[in-house]
Amino acid sequence: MASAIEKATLRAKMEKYEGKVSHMYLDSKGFVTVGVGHLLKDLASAQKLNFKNGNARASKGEIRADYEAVKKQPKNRLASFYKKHTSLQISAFDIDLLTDNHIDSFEIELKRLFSDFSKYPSEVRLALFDIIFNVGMTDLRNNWPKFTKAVKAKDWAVAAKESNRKYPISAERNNYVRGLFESAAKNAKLSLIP
Amino acid sequence: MNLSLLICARISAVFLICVVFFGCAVSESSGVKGDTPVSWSPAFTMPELVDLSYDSITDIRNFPDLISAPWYAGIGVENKKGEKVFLSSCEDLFHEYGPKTHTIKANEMAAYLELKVMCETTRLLINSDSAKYSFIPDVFLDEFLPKVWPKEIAMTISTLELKRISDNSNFKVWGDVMTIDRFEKDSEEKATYFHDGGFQEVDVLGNGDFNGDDTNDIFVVVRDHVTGGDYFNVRLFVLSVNRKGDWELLESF
Repeated sequence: MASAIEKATLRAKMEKYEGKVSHMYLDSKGFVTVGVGHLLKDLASAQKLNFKNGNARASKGEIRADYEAVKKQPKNRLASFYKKHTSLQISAFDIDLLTDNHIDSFEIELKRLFSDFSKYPSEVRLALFDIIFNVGMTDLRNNWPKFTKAVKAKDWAVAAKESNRKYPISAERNNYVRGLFESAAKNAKLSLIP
Repeated sequence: MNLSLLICARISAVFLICVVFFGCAVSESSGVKGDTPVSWSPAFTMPELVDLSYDSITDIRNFPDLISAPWYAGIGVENKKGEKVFLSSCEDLFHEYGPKTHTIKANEMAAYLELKVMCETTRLLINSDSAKYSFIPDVFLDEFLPKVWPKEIAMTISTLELKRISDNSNFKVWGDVMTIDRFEKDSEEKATYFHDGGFQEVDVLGNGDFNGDDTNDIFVVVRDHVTGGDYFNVRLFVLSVNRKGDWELLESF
């Protein structure tokens, strides 16, 4: 299981890439979303969350009103565009809980893909989380053959080279992930020195 | 006199046969002849992305107004020189952006890409000419499209895997790179192609003669999505098709 420090790092990264939005908005696929990219696949899912209208807990009807108002809007706008169509918010605490659940789900997927995942160095685990947040389990499993082979072989230097993602992924994000693998590679070499 | 009439009749018959034969041959092989004006589809959403009080655009002569009109919201980016600037119109964008421009807030990148592509399409439509010839099929967004569209349409996220695909001459078309296992069509201008890692939304935004060869080209946006991840990209392509039905990539943005 991801350590508390790893989870805090991962939450910070996810917030940076997805934003931390307290009201409903539409993601690039046109799905109603809240928090740090937390998908509300249907109204019932939205009504299970602790939305607030000011300090009062929102009713199911109020959640429906926000959900339906946002759903009608064009997708792929800035999250702030959708705010005027909502009246409810979710707390930062609840957003963090949802994000932690996502991290746990991704960890299950990574363990499925890489049977030694729990034994990998922390830097490697953080790097793999970054990639799977971004590309998803299926793309990672099917479209990164040299990368996944290198990871399974614990060849962190090759994994570093193969980890690069093209635009619109930023150089900063690529450098971060590559740096994690390279650090793991360097530490692995040092550990071999008697 | 009778002989003259007979000769004239024979010459006329020969002439008529020639006109029919060559006339038919010309219209079969050259597609639609005559001026095909620059046009755009409802998928071209630039009018909706600018200030909401802006009237709907119906005349291409008003398109330059879309370049200067303020967007529904501004976005901070790092420009070509690495400076942090605030963009609020297509005009701002063209002045500051480059092929690797990123938003200051990473989570605004998707919205930026949408605006960027629509701004570039606006400029394409303004700068394109009407075409004399068009070989664009009436219906081409179908399940067979991945067998004919160029491989650059395929979604590849890994930089090195993309290079391997580009260098591999065995990969020629979209379907060579990825297996499209499902197809959904919303209209003649919009369809979605599903593969095991995600899906690609294809919208035909418009058409015009992009490169001055008198032939109609199409402007297509492809939105790349993954399943179970947040990766998203919006890409603009200019595609041409010849009389044999061979598609060619002219430009990508």
